[in-house]
Amino acid sequence: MSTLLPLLVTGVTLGSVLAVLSLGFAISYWPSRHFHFAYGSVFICATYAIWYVAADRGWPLAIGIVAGGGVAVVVGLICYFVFYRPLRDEQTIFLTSFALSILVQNVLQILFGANPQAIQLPHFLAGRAFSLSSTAPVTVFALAEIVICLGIWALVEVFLRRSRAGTGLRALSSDPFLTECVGIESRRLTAWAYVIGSLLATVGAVFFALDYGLTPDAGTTPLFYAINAVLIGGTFSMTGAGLGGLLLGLVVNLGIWHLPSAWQTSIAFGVLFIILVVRPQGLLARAGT
Amino acid sequence: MVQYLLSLGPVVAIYVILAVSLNIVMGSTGVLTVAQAGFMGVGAYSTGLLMTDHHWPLIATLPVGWAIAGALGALLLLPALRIQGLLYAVVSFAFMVFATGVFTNANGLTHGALGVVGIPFFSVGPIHLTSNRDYCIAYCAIALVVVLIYYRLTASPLGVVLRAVRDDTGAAASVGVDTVRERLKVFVLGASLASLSGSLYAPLIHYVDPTTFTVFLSFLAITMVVFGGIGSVFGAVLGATLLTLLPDAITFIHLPSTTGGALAQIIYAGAVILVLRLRPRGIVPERSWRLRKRLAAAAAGRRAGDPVPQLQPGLVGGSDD
Repeated sequence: MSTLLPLLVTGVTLGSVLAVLSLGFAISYWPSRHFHFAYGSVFICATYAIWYVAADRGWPLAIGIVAGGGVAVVVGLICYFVFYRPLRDEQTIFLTSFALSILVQNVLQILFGANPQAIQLPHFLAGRAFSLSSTAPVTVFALAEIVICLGIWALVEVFLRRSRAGTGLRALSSDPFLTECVGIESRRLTAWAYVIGSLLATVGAVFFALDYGLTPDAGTTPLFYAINAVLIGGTFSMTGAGLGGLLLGLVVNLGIWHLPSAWQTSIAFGVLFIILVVRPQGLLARAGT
Repeated sequence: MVQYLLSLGPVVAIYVILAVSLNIVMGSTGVLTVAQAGFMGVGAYSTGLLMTDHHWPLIATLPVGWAIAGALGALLLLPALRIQGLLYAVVSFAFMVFATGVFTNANGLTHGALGVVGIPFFSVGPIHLTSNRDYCIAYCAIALVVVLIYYRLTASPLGVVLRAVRDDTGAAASVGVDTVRERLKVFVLGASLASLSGSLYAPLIHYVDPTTFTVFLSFLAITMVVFGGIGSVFGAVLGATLLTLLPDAITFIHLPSTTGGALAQIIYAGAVILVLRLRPRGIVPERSWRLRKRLAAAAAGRRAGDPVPQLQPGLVGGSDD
């Protein structure tokens, strides 16, 4: 039991960050049906922008985060306008997106090298912790992660349900044709979806960079987890994506309670495979989608 | 220089076989599958493990790989019957990530992250391959046989049936085609062929590394097929050859190794993006597609008021109609 509690803590921490990342992927994917594999590139560009501004140039972390957000939005919009919109077939978009992610990863490698980089926590956050129990220390930073990520998730949910744009996005997700018939301009709305998705990626990028450091290929694992979460969560469901992220963070950490930690990814994807075979529309989709 | 080219030859041959195996599945059924590298890994590990740990002759390890890969291929058919399009690609993606995890972590079975070391040279009966030139000749011969078989397959009645299943499953079923059985054949054949490419890989490199068989290798195979042309025999060969040689051609320009490698990947990715944008059907589109396009163009010259035949949506793109 004593090993379970710290795993629960890390599970919830990772789960909250994954929830935000998965939400970002879902918002880019469901309204547009573009399989935005380059979302990982948006993520990794944000981490490098934050690192470059905050750690390499020495500016405050807050400025770095703003820079990261800006870069992420630009990259996301370039993907949308230059690469995805001219194409019509979803498989071609998928492959183009994948090639893009390879391109970006290697450009980053040329610019910044393949060595891992790290970002220091600001002074007021570093080194402070409290204990849930004798074996479960929780850093203040981890707590901040959980609170911020869950708070942002709540904000996005409110946006999706209470605002016109959010409702429009949900409409686009469930039926793009009818949405256009009703008069909602899908192109601009989708562009905004990409902007929001990129911003959510930036949030995830901040925490991943601070927790794990950066390398040019560090975008793939979070991307895979986000995709995993979105599909578990259910067709067209953004809330499902967030829940999927939270669930994955917990499953992955609890899984290593009894299994060697190297099996984390395999567990996550084994679960996805089984769910997709048994219930392809995911957990939160309405029956019939 | 010559040695360098000869050392590339067998690698190209292996990728041609892999590309053909994927083309069989994608060209015949229209599904996008990211699992092909897993089947190649099965072949590589079967051959590698049986030859090093149990001293089996190479020729005996091949059917083992075919059997395991074939069974996995059949397993992956099941979701394909229920799930359409891109979602199936993601299912295969999940399977592939899981497979990579097994290759990397199942220490008892696959030697885990260490991989399989010290795989002997290719030796079947009186044929012992030792030099680059030997491997090049032998593997290119094998690849040629595979390509010929594929060509006969696409031109055969079975090929016609498979394309019918791909283009309109309902219509094919309505004329009595057992679409499930035909797709099963294709999935098993594609998986077994990929396993063969893996089994040839092991005695060439003498080492099986779990990090080789990832989704990215599957993507490489997919880009070879899409680049060359889905369903097109010559296209598969062209795609495999170009995309294997291209990164290596870059390294002839003398750059520091990390930059050179990264630049090669950038150019390769850029080439793929361009081809997907400009010729989504691939550089050499499938014969039946070219025929349909000619028919549609001829029909467009009819009197106004006649219905214009629509092109089948098919697999990839419509932006160059």
